[in-house]
Amino acid sequence: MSAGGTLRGWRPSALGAYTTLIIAALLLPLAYLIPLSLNPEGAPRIPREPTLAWYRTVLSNGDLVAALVQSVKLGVLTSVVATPLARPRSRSSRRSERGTSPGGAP
Amino acid sequence: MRSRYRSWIPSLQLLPAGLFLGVFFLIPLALTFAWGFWPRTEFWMRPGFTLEAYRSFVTTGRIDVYVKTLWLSIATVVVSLLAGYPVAYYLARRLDGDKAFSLLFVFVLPFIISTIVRTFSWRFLLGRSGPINGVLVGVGLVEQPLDWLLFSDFAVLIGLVTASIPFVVFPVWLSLRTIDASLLEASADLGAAPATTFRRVTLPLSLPGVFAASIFVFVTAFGSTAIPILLGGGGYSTIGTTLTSVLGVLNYPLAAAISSVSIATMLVLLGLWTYLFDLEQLVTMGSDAQ
Repeated sequence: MSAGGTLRGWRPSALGAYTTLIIAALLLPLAYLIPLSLNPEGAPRIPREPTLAWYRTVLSNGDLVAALVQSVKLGVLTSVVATPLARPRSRSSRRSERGTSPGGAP
Repeated sequence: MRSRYRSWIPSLQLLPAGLFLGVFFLIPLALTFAWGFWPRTEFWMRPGFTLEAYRSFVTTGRIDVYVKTLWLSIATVVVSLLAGYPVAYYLARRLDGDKAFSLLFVFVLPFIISTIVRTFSWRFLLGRSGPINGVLVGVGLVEQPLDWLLFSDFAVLIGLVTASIPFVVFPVWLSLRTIDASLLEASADLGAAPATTFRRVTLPLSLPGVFAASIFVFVTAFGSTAIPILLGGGGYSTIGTTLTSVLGVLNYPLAAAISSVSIATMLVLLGLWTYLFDLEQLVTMGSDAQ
């Protein structure tokens, strides 16, 4: 037994393997989308002959490109408005936690 | 005089965010609550007082959807905690700082990718011709592809849990990081087995993080719309999908009543949290862990 009640021996590696499994469950579904997007057929299968056809379709579709541009605009605008609103409060919190007055010496 | 001026600065710094929240959050919230009592007109509503929307909510089966959503959210909290706690424990107690921070970044990744995109991929994975069914049939565990993997409670739960795990890992990791190692050493020196130390020292001291995670996960699951639609299928109803469909038929008082009940549910949970734990504990955990 280790100090602090942590579990030595096989358990740490089991915890490590478990963490890897959880990370895989979070990331593999996202990774799975990439080969699917290269499939020339409509079916959700890993492609035998990958192609960029779907990407060409997306980029040549005016509505989809406009939606993409709109999403980027909204994202940037949200960041520009939200960050300055929250920043003074977070700075104030940090100062009060450190016990300093704003602009004063620690 | 100057120090008095300085003491005002933190309050002044709160002003922009406070004003913004007041105008764009609290006022709409108050309006939503009021609209729940207004009579419905053909395309809008008019000022007045009626309990018709709440009566409709209780008598038309939507209350069943509310109860089902509550249970689904509670199940999501339980499964997410069971899945995420060991990960947070591993990151906080087993890895050194740099490695833990690197791995934590992996848990940030899902936050920067849209919920719809993340859920969309599960639709392929859990489908009849998807790789999970392919493996199950391939290794002989089942003869036919399982139909209930997709468009079911199971699929929605999987979607909600995978979306919620980062909400568990961060607060629990923070609470575990702040546990004084000398307490754990004392427990070990007094002869407690590792499991006993975990049960009687580590787990109780990490409860503020566990409860904070529970709130985050519950709120996410309770209000989720995209995941039930994508993984539950067309007929799958939660309070989020019900709200969307009610808005679709322009029944604004009913939508306001459903929203008010949902908000009240969240407030009860937050009240419970502040009653059981000091609300400042999460903030303190964050600053201590840095």
